[in-house]
Amino acid sequence: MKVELILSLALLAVPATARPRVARSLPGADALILKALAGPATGYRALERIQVFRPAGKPKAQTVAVFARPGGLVRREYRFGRSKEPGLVLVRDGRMSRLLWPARKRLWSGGESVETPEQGLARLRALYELSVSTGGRVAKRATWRVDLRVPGGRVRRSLWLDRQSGLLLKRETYRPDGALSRRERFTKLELPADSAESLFRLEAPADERPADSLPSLLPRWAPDGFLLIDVRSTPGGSGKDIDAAYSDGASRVTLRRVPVSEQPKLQGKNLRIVRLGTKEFVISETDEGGGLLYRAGDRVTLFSGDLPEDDLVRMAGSLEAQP
Amino acid sequence: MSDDSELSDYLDGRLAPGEKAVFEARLCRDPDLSRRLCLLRALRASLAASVRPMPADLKAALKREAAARMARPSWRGLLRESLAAHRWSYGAGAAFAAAALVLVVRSAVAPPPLPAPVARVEPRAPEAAAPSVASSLADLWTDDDGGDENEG
Repeated sequence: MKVELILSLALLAVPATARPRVARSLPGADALILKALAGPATGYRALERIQVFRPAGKPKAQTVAVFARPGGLVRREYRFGRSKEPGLVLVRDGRMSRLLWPARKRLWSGGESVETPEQGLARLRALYELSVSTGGRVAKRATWRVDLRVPGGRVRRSLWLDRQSGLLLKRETYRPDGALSRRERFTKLELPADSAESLFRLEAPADERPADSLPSLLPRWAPDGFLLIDVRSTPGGSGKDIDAAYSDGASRVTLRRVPVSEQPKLQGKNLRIVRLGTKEFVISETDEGGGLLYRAGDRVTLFSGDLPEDDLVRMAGSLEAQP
Repeated sequence: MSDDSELSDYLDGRLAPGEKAVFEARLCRDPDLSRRLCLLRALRASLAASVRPMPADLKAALKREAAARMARPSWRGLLRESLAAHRWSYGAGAAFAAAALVLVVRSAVAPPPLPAPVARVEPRAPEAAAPSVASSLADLWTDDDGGDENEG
């Protein structure tokens, strides 16, 4: 009797949830990327920290408050220094983007180039080889890590995706020399979380200057936080050629649109040609990031800057076809 | 060297004779590499398709501008050169005379007229933030230690 009691107690002491270790196979990269690009099924609120690492000088960082509703509705508030008031507010709904600068009473808005998750995956697949491994914990959530490698095996981007929702929680971008260039990471996350619909309606300031629509020569997409800071027509271009620059305050990308006859030279090394549907891009690696040449009709657009090739391809691909 | 770099160097004629022979042997054996060479060659050819020779008047204007922008030596530089060229046995009087000569020569030479600056036409409608805004965007960023909050 005593032996039976001791045996019973010993069996009960084994945790009920204990189960033998089973080797888990890793999920496919394509499925993870599609889920991340589709976005989570529920809304969320997060605090994001973005760090930029320059070859010379101290790293820089900014804090962004993120609010999201299902269906691709996202509000991003960029804070100036330690101020609790947003310096910039960006709202995207998947079709339109609106950017409000309260201090300057300016509101920009425009239609966005829409990319489906399948198109996004195709863009990444055209540029990189994808591999999956176990990630650590980010914002207290278990993650899968997806590495995006350029031909030759060097990692260009690493993504940490929430195992449960697929949400992108952290992203690191590396320069061609392998040094870390940028880190974007959720430091706090409430998932699921509801945000009022009114939060995603940007009201124009009362005395706001009317904003002109973007000329059709410019890309219909730029990475979050990047503003068009300069644009000029080049002389002799009949209004069809421009020099433009985008920046988020820490990183920068320029574009130059010229006639094909001017033969702009793409700087950098490891040139390669990448095809996406009917579009063809020539890509190079530069010390700061990347370069890209895109021809449409009798015009060539040259991109150069701190962005990796998948962002450059998306910008170039969002240029409207010109007659 | 990566294939893409070798392809570019081959088309640009930058491979050494030995390297070129080895690369051409590879092209014969590797149809994919050969196809990529054809694509790159075709892309370059299409970019060069309608090259026009530089107009003669534009060439002349560029030469005039380059000559006008050549740095004129300062009077101090000329004085230094003339002092270095003349021996000290000439005495201070010669040095002062050289300096005076420089000043006279400089004031007598009329610089060629600079060409009119090339106008940059501002587009009518672009919604671009002013250049000062670019520096304001930098205020969104603060110095950072670069650390990552490793939660393990």
